[in-house]
Amino acid sequence: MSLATPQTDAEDAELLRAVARGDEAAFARVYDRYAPILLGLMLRILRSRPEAEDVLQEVFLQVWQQARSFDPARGRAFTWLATLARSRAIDRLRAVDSRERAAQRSAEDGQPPAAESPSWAEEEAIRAERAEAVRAALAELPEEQRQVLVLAYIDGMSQSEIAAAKNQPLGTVKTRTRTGLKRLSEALRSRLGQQFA
Amino acid sequence: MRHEDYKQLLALEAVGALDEEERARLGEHLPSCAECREELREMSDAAASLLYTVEPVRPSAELRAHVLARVRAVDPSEVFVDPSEVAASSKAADPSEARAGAPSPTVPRDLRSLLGGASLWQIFAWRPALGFGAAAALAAVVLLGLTSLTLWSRNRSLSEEVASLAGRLREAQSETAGQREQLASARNVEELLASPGVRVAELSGKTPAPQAHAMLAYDRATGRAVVMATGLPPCPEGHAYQLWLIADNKPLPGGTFKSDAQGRGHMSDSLPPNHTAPTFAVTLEREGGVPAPQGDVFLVGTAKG
Repeated sequence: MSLATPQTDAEDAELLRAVARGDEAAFARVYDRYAPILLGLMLRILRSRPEAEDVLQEVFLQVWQQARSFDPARGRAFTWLATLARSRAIDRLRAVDSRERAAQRSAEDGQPPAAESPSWAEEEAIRAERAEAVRAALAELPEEQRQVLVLAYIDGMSQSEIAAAKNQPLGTVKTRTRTGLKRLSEALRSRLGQQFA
Repeated sequence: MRHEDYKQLLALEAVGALDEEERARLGEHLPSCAECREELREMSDAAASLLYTVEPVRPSAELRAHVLARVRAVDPSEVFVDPSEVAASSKAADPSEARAGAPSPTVPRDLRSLLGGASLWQIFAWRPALGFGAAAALAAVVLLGLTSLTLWSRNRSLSEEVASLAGRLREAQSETAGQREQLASARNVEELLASPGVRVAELSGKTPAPQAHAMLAYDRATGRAVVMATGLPPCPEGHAYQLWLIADNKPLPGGTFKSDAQGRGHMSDSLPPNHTAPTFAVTLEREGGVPAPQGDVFLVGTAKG
């Protein structure tokens, strides 16, 4: 495992600063680097490609206009992006009628393969490296901790929803969330250094 | 709540699992607790890394082009307020969207939507020591304020630009007016010199300004006259040079003029017509002129014929 990830953090922060200055090329790089992950998240939450793409567009418009509000002292650039994207996706989920979503879901199987964008391969490599680091760190967590983290953060479920779904006491879910996130943070840090987590 | 109780909330906040009441309480604590802020930052970074567990889905090249086109149509200096408004405005500015027929966003226009991805981090940083509800409301006000500020400063800079352009226009107009005047007077001189009844007089300097000199053209038929003087001292405040036509030893008043920094004076005038071989004089008088000469004579000369 190389230590390229902290550099990626610094680069991400620099890219966002450039975006804040109105640098379209920097914006395109941020897009190429993170649009696939964010679209994956949108699809996971919204289960509708048109809506996911629509929210993705909103998120990147917001990135373009709010990049100056990113402050590296408060967290990584990716955290800023993820928070923004997750919040938008969950807002949309709550706004859209679920029957409408179900109707859309059935109509959108078999998306055409996407064409290559210029910096796709490069960004894909960066993404893959980081994803591998996160998977390895998560592998150090017990399965039940991993699950509550993913259900809360990725699927946007509340702690009581998770408790109901898993048929577990609410206190247990909360404890697992706390312990799991702390361990994940430590595992990432020991792998990738202070800058990562 | 004790510090330890707040610490229990940090991981839950980081994964977005706190309810509004808990967030409000945490929002009150964070501004005064560096330790909790630092831990929240670490927890938030760790939570965000969970996104890497999601299978990435490559957006189409068309979507990429579309997003890039949309940001190009949006001024980055505009403060983000409402995505649906932004979408609407950029939609209007982006003809490719009409072709693509993208679905229009249906974003709730509630406070949460207004705040967008703002986390507690961002909100409490704007104004410590406020609960989440108050902080969120404040954040909305701040956003609106920033928008107004942006509009205000833009308006101000546009006003300044307009004022500066108006100033330049005035300068250009006054320059043009000056040039028009010069051109008109040059034409007057030309016409005057070309008229058959014109007589020319050379005026020479007298005691107060022996170096002064002037040429005067007088059209006997119309009374039109032009005088061009050099070597005149600057007019004292409240004074001007006045031209006189002296016929039968009687001075008839003409117009007044001032000398410039180089001692030059110039005037087109209408004098009484039909005087043969009149004498002309220039005296220094009260500004605005006098009916009979009172001041010193600076120039005198007689027209021939």
